[in-house]
Amino acid sequence: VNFYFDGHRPFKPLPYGQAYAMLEWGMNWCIANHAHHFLILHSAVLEKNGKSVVLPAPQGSGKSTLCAALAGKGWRLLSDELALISLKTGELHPCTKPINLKNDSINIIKSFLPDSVNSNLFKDTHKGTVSLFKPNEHSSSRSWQACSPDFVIFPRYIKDSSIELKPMHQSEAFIQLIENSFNYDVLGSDGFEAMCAFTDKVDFYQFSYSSLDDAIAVFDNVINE
Amino acid sequence: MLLLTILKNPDEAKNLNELEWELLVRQARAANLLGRLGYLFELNNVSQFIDDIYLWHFTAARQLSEKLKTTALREVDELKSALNKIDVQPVFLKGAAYILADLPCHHGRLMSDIDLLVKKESLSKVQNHLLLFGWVSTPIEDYDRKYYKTWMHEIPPLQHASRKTTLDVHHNILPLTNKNTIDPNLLNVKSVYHSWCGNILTLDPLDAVIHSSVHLFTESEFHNALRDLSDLDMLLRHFKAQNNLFIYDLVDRANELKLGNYLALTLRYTSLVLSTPIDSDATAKLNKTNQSAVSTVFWDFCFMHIFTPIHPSTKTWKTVFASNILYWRGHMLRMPLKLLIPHLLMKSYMQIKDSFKKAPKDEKLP
Repeated sequence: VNFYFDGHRPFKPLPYGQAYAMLEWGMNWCIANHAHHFLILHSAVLEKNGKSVVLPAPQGSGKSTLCAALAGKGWRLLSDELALISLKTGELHPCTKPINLKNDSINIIKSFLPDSVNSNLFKDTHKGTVSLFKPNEHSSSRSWQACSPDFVIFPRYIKDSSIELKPMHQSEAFIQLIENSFNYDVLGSDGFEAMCAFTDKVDFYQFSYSSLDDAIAVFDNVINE
Repeated sequence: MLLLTILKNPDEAKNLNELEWELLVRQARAANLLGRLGYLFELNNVSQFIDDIYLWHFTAARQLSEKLKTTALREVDELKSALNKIDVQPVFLKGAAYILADLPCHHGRLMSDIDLLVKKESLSKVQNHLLLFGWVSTPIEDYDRKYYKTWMHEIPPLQHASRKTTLDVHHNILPLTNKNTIDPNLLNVKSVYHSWCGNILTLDPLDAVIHSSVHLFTESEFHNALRDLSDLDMLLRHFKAQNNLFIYDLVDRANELKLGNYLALTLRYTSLVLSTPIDSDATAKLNKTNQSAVSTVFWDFCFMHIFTPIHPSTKTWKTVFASNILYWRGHMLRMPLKLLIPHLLMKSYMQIKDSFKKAPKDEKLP
């Protein structure tokens, strides 16, 4: 199966069975490579009661799993991959799409959220087995609604660890966010200014967890404080 | 065609409906003109009438254009100081020159590589010296290397080892095998001041327009045909606003360099496609090969079908036919048939050989 962007074919074809996974990756590629009116971070973004949380994390940190768990327990999903920070307003813009779950996360989320709707399994992709998780109605019906940034939480799943949430210094977070950005280098001084404005507005935390229930309790606590 | 309508009259963007906007964005992207339209919207005070859901495509392209320009200026600065050490004053051409001389067509333009001109005598000195600064020759077959060296007006592209920017070093503006090739010493250079790079050499306005004309109308593959024609349109309008007799001077200059045929094509198609104001009595003085009415109709057909965005919405048998004819035209201009035929046979052989070993270049999936 092929992915076409305005007549161009940016990727090699994949087996037919991976079509939906490819569509989701292709759409992310389109946004990350073209939407330079946003400062784009590789992060999940969720919102509850008017408070937003950005979860930047490298692959393997459990970001998507945590994101799906939150989205299944009353949080609004803005994105599982791309935090879009408007250069004009500083607000976070949604790009609500199915959450891309990989390998072990698929079964973890299935048992954590028995009512969740998943796609078929796409096996042997370049990221292993992949399944797409349907966001709740609440997220998709408000996919036009931006929100102001409040918290940035760097999550890390550590097996059998106890839960830990500790504040993080702005300057350290700033560097990590730059490394995490898709287009910071494209935006030049506009990117620097947007990043400064963003880091001034939010509180930063480092967070490690092993249980999803505990993690959600901590997140609810953070936004209610 | 929608893109041409809006390029000529950005004000009409105010009246577009949703489907037309979608088409405009796609055509403009295919023609590499999103950023330029963004600039024209701003210049004509149209931006504030455009809904954000359409406008962002143009704004985002301008962001990218700014980034590429900064990258280019940095390279210009590096190249200038590197070459000054061996007493070579490079003359910057095309995109880099548009930025350095602050010509309106640099706004929103997506630069790809840097073109510079040096004296042929200093070519090997320049190439060896640039190597010290990290500019290396891109991998190239021996046959191609020889082809460049013997016949072309430039050396094979150089790439910076760490910054990955591409550089085309020219010693002339036309291939040596083109029958109109000129003595590059005849070109007039002009020093311009740029706040970052200081005093820099570019071609003077007349020769810059002539070079851009020659460059466009000797192409055989027209990837950016409409963008390049729009560059020429903006250059002509800009210089004419400064000097009302500019087109007359341009005609005199093209006659002097015996490049009237190329300028004739620029003047004809900028005015036909983009309504550039061209003084007809100036055109009448241009020395060019006389064409029969039939061949004028034929070449009009080809060029009018190449100055479109290459996009599914504009692709027909006519555009395919036109690009094939112009592909051959470009090759025939580049060299006489007795050189061209063996060259193309060699290239086909190399292509077939390569198709067995080289994989196509693809983006990595995110």
